Amino acid sequence: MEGVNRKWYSGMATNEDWWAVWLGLILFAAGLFSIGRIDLVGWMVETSVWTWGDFSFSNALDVTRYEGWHPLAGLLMAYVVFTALTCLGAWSMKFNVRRFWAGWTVLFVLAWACWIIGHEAHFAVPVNAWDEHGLTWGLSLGGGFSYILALAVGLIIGNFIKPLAGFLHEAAKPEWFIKTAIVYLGIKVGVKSMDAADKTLELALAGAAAVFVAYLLFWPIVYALGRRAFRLPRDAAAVLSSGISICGVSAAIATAGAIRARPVLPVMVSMLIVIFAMIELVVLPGFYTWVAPDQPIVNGAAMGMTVKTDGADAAAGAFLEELMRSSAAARGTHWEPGWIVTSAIMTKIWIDMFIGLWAFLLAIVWVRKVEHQPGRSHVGPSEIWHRFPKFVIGYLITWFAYLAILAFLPEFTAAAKPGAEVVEGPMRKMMFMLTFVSIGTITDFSKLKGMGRLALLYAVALFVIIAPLAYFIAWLFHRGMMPPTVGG
Amino acid sequence: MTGGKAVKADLEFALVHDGRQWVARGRDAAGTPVMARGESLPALDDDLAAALAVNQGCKGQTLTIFMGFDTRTLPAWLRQYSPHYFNRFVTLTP
Repeated sequence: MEGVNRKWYSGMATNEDWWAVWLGLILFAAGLFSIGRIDLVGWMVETSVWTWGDFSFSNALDVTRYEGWHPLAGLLMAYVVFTALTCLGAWSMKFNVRRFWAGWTVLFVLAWACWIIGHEAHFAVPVNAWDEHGLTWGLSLGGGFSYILALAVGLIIGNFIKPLAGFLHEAAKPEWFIKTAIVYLGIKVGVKSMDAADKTLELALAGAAAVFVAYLLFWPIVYALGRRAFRLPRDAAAVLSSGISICGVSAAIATAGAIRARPVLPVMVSMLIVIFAMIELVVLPGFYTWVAPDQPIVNGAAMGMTVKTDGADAAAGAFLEELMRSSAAARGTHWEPGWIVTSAIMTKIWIDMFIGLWAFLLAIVWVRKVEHQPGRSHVGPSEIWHRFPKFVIGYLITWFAYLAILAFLPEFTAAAKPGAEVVEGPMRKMMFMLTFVSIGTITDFSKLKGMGRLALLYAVALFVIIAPLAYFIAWLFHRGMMPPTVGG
Repeated sequence: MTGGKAVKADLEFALVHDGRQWVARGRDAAGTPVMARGESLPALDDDLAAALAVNQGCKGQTLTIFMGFDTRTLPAWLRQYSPHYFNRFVTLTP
């Protein structure tokens, strides 16, 4: 039965979730070759700061490890490798490969253009380094301007150049791109574990505890609000509660499936979630940086519990990291990169992992207490597996692989790092950039029309209940945790 | 059972929603195509039991039916967020 998840391995070749694992593990494996002194990923390019009036690709791009390579050769290699891999995935998932390739190429060019422009010194350099670059003014946004620009370009396309948005539609897969980036992030967490295992473990445990508490509070509050204040039917209240309070679209679909709602319900709620996630992504990083510039980990964890969808959360975490590191640098503190975005994604991953279990319990309650069909209709435990986010498997494999090297093969730690750093560094950031551009192109604000009551409930629940409560819970479990300082 | 050990099915059906009704398509034990419809899942189950009763080989037997939602009927943009909707098992006596 094509299209039905019947076996435990169903979808391994045909959905984005699994393809994030394959795309992640292929480059992870390539990076591991550095242990044997074979560099399979050193062609990758990364952006560097350049100054207006002095642009050249040699100034704006660096080849990570292949000495003597021109940056454009590295960029071309990045295009060829990632195009081949993503088109293979697109073919396997039965996309229209020609349309995917064309859209992917445009997204790739836009992402790199935004990434390079955003690293112009006036946008990127922190205030205390202006003299070094001969600047008299600047925005001091670090890499944050690249993200803002990519998002703005995507939103302009999605809302004002709709024929182009339609053309890009086949390739604009922010969830696939971000889940791949999260698998690469597992490498970063693994490398961090090599340097600071205690801090990584503390972050993981605090994230799990915070998410557990948040689950118990958010869902019943929003469900009660939907039922009593907004008089929503039971199924709509349940789907919306999961969407708002747990993890956006995937939770809304899982809940709707668990309670056997008509598919139109999660489709409507998901449109709402995608649009509100965009608003959160734009508003919250700057707001948190402004109100709590000295709470990087708390802010990151709160982001993970507040911003819905993995793509928007990871993007918001990355944006927050750039803003907060830049703000801290201006005050003379240089936090190591990666910790803030990791705290944002760590809480989100715990949330994602709980979704399957939550939906399974809800399905049992629904069959017994709402449908009153115990004995006739059954819920298979395989539902937990089918709803388990598979990219988390990739994330854990990459994380624990580097942890295992540290624990069992410490003599290879130094050799493992160069390959890891290319994959978790510029390759991961490129996937983030692709996420920013593509998440913008699929967000169409005109879809809010006609969703009055649901949209109002969403806004009230999110900004009056979820965001403040999430921040309090994040503060409760993460207060006092700080990223290590560079060279500290 | 409701969420315990794994369930084996006698018959398997693909499930979709056409915007108005749930629709289940599959084959009975003799390999004959069977389709059932219902505005609610209990109504679908009743219709399926009636459709299976037409086949004398099924009539009177207690059958465990697997219904797997065909995720291709969800919008393509939505499937990237979650590739699974739901599967269910139903015990019917046509």
